[in-house]
Amino acid sequence: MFFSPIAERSFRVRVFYKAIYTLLFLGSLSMVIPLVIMLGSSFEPGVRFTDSPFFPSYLVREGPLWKRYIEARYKNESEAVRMAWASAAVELEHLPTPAIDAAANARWREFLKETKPPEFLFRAGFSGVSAAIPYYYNREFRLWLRKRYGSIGEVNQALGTTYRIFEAIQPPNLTLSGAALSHTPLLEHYLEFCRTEVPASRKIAWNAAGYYRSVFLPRTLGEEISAYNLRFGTDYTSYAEVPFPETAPEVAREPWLEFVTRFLRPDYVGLTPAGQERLRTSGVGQAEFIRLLAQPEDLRVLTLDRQFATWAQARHGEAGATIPQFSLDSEAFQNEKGFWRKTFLTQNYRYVVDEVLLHGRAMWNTLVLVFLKVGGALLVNPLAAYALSRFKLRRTYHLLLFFLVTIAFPAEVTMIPAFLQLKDFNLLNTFWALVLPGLANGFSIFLLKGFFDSLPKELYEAAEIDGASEWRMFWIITMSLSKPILAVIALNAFVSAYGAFFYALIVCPDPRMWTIMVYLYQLQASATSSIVYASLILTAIPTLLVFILCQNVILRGIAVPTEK
Amino acid sequence: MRVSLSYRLIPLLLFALLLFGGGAPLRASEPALVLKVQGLPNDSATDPASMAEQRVVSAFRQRHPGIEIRGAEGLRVENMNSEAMTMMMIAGGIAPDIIRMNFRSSDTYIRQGIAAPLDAFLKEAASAGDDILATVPPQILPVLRKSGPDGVPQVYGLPGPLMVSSLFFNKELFRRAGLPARAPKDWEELAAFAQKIKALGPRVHGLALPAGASASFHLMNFIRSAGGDAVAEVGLDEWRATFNTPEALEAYLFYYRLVEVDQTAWRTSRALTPEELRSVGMMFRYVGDTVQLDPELWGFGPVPRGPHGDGGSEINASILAIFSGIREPQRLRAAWEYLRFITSEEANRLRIETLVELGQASQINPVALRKYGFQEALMMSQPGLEADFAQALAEGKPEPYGKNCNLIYLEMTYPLDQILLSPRIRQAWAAGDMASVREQAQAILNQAVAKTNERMIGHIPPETMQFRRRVTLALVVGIALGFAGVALYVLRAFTRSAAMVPRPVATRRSFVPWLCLLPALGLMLVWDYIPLLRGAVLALQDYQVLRPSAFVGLDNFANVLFDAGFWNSLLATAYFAGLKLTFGFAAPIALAYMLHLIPRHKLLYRTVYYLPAVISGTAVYFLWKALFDGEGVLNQALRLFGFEATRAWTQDPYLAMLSCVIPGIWATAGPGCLIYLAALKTIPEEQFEAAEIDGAGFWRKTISIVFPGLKALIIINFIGAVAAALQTSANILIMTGGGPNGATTVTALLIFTEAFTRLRFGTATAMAWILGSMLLGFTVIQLRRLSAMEFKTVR
Repeated sequence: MFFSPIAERSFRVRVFYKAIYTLLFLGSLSMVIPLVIMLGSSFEPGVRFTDSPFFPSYLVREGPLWKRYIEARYKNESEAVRMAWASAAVELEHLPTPAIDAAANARWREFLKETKPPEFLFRAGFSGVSAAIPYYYNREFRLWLRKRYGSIGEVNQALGTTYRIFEAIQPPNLTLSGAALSHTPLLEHYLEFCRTEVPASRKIAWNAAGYYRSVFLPRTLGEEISAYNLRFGTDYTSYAEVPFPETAPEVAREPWLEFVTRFLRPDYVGLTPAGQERLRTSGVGQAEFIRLLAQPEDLRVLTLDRQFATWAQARHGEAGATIPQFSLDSEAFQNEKGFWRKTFLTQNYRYVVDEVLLHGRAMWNTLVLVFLKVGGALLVNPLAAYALSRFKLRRTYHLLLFFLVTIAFPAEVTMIPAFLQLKDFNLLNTFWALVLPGLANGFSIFLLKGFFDSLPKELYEAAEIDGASEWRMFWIITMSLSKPILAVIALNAFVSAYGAFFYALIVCPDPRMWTIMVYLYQLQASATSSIVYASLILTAIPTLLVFILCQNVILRGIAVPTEK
Repeated sequence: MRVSLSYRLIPLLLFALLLFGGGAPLRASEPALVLKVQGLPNDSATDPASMAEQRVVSAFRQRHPGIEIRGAEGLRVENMNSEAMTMMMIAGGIAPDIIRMNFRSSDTYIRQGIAAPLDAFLKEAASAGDDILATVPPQILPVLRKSGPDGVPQVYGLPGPLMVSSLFFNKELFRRAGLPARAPKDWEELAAFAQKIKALGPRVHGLALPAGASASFHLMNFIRSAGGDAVAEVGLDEWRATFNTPEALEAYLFYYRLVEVDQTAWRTSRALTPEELRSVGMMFRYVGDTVQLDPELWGFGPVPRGPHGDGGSEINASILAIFSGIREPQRLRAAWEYLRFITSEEANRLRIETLVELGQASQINPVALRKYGFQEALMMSQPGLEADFAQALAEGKPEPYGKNCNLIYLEMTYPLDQILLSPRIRQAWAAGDMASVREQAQAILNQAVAKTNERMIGHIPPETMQFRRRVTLALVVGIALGFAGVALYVLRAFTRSAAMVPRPVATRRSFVPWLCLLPALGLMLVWDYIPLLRGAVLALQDYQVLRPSAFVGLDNFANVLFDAGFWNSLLATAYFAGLKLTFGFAAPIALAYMLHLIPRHKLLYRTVYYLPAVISGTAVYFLWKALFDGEGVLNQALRLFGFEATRAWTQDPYLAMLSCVIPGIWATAGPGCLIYLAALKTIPEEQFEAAEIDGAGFWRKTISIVFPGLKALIIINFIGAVAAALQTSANILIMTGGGPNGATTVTALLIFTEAFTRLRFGTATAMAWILGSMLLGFTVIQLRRLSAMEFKTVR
């Protein structure tokens, strides 16, 4: 007892304890809060919203889930939402609350069923080229390719590519107006994947009219509708009302023409009979004809929204029908909330597993490295300490000095020559380079020798009388009686081998030799902080397990120096 | 017994097996002709520039089916530039066959003998009627033709597609601000445009500029358009830094005005996110390689003209070269074929054709469009742009390519940061005292130029060098004597303590102990002592990675001792160590004491404080880096309390060092306190009881009982902590990369960058030896203490 039982009850001592507890409590908050933030943020699927660093709010509240749902669905681009919803004002930060227009949705489905528009007019939501966000259908696409072709070699054969790993595969880049940049086997496969694997509720129709109204016109003419009205003498109240007619209009012809010839993908543009005729005589391809030679009267728009409007007019007598994408999204959201909660929750972790743990030989390299380092440290150092402790050598203390003096030099002094030596011995990019330097540790040897010295000598004498070999005495007596200190040495070796990335990077620049930590380092240079957090948590698991397993042994193994 | 013995041998066998077996697959031989090419686009990349490059490469593959082209991308290390990574690949023995260098790094590659000379191949091609150099723009020829390591001028590389530095403008923001749809013509217009754009909203920025260690990269545009330059060739292969001329001063001050006075320029060290791009009015980028900007959103024009009407456009290109380490003639031939094709007019045409097909015509230099006959694509670009660019190309200058110019942006950033952070310049500007502003800035620039001349270009007047050599000799002799004395002292200390300790039991076989000692002795000899000796030799050499190294005597030491950067790094080291020891060392002791004192919840608190330990070593710094970020949790919390904090802690000159120290304290307080807890338990309780009876209070007990009980441990740990603090480099590299303005460049980090990013192993080792000799005192004390101690585990 630091204080006597009587003093314990005195006012001053009680205040003293209160102060210590307060300090400890505040300190433990600062210990725990970063960890909680790390855990809470690791479940954040996007990059835009950080409304609660401590807890993934989308798990319990609908608003945050809706925001993340739309963010992921439209690959984090406000403009993609604007185009799909044909609404010039919407921003991902300020979304309208979901609202379902059942009649409009039913009509749209009826249209799809009757006319069966070509599949390329739709694309998968939750997918896009991004280094930062692991979109759901990007991963599904890879898995689909893996299932279909088995190995990456087969995939390369089929796609004419040279991927080394599945993780490198990204869906083809599609521009906002729906055009693929080139027709490749990859694109064909992706379209097939979208056709067969992505349910209709998670697809997005290419809404060319939406792009025209909510992105193209505001961008070229001015954000306010007044700019349009002023220029063309109209009186619309918002861009949503501006028509997107099938053929060149009399009013506002220039923006229509520019949009159709320069922004719309050629599949969407057809020719009037006059245009057909002119194309025949021009002697160029259709795409080039549309881009450079066609007269306004030659062109016809064949976009999906156009077809839908025509169909609705003919079928239901409804004028100006538009794709009810907002309502469709709202409906899909209401139906699939549980699924997306689960997906968002695990998304970052799945990504880290793919990119760090299962990347190349990362796991194997780490395992081998840890095993070699721990095994090596537990063999070389105790053996040397055993020799120094047990045998009468003339030069014992000079040997000890030989081992200890190396502590005196900063690591930098030997780092560069040791690196060059590895290079000379041709050991770079091998496990040798990771394990050998630093395996013999002067301080460990000193510590072990001190500990071995304290073991009773009678044990050795008895064993000698029994005729035990040195090797056997080393294992049976010395090693088995020194478990705590060996555990400490093993733990230190584990932590340094598992956590090292910098040295590992320098002596093994070849990706085939990279360990988990090196991949983690590479990952954190490009990934979002949520993914970094998720990777930190996943890589902490082995350490946590080792600590839990060794805890008791370690606490007994702490060596306290005392002056002789 | 036999069985148990062989059980024990299993790990040994496994160990050996893994060590040999684990490395074996990497030694598998590759097919005969695989060319490793740097800068090859990723196969999965679908951006237009990569697709154009892919097409060029596949055209080559078709033509040469026997040669396999493979990308040679190595590692990425943050806060380290791409040249450094190439250097590390070369140093690490995985050099690519085709090296991609830029203008500023070309001299280093050539001087180090990394690029192979091409004159023989060029002559051969010329005699076959293919005059390759005739197609290279005349300004670029001096970049390619240099005196190599043997002093004979030769061509060492061929340029890829030309790039011209340009000013991009955000069409949408320009329209909203009522500005014309073109890039500003001159500086005044640039400043005025930027102000109008900034007025659009609080998060809208007129101009985006890079921050960080190479921030001056974009400043260069202003220096050139003011009529200045970074370096000038004063004689054959003789270079001097010139960024202290009146023209350069003007550029620095204009930059200052945009950033600090108008506050229309926004500096960030990250790549901009798509959302951030939308809120930026203008930025500098190259035109020619496609810029991955939406052509519907971004237009561009030449760099605005300076006050004297100079154009500032810089011409750049990747230079492709062959790695000089290639030995087989067959491979050399294949590398040449690749180099020739990839830089040919045919390949350039193919690239532009692909880009035009992909609808990227509006991002291609209009001059190149016309050259390769894409007239109709030209119709889509802005009127007048072609003429502007023709002129920009004609008067444009290549990026600095003089001696060691790969460091030029680093060197020019130091004074830039100094000027931006100088309180005196700020005051003078606020007071309208421009004469004083100029004077201050000029002084900073003069000093920086002197340093650059010395450090980068290596120009030191001979008499100065003579003086330095003498001083250094005296110092090194002193150090050597000190070493010898210390060695004797330690040896004696140990022998004395040896005499006091009883000898261990005698034994029968004398070869057994040596057998046991052999692995440790061997490993230590090979990986500690021999490197130590090699290091001593290395410090006396001008070490060359690929060529024989020459002895330079004590010059490396002289250069280090007279380098202000080294002394600054020592100051930074002292500051870092001070912070680390004041807070980081005391924290576990205080924690252990508190945990020892409290009667309840000991285990709970111990566990909580121990939690951070599960995040292994360096990963702790990744976590805290994210927390310290500009938009990170810490700044958000500060904002809650009303502090306006937008800068990342790691970029703030005052907080940067602290942000390198805090994660370590957080992670090690808990694990570190365990040993003190164990030691506290060894203090007998009776002592406290006796003290209580004597009426001793808390402080009295702490000083008289607790402190003596912990003294041995504290001293041992303190010396260890000092040594560790002086050796920290990786953690700081992660957190700050040594910035801002070198504020966190500790000596250990300086040694690392000197060695692995500049490949100056000689000076790096010299630095390490000087640092080591400073540490020696500490370690001697440590060794002496150790010799008088024994370790006991507490149960």
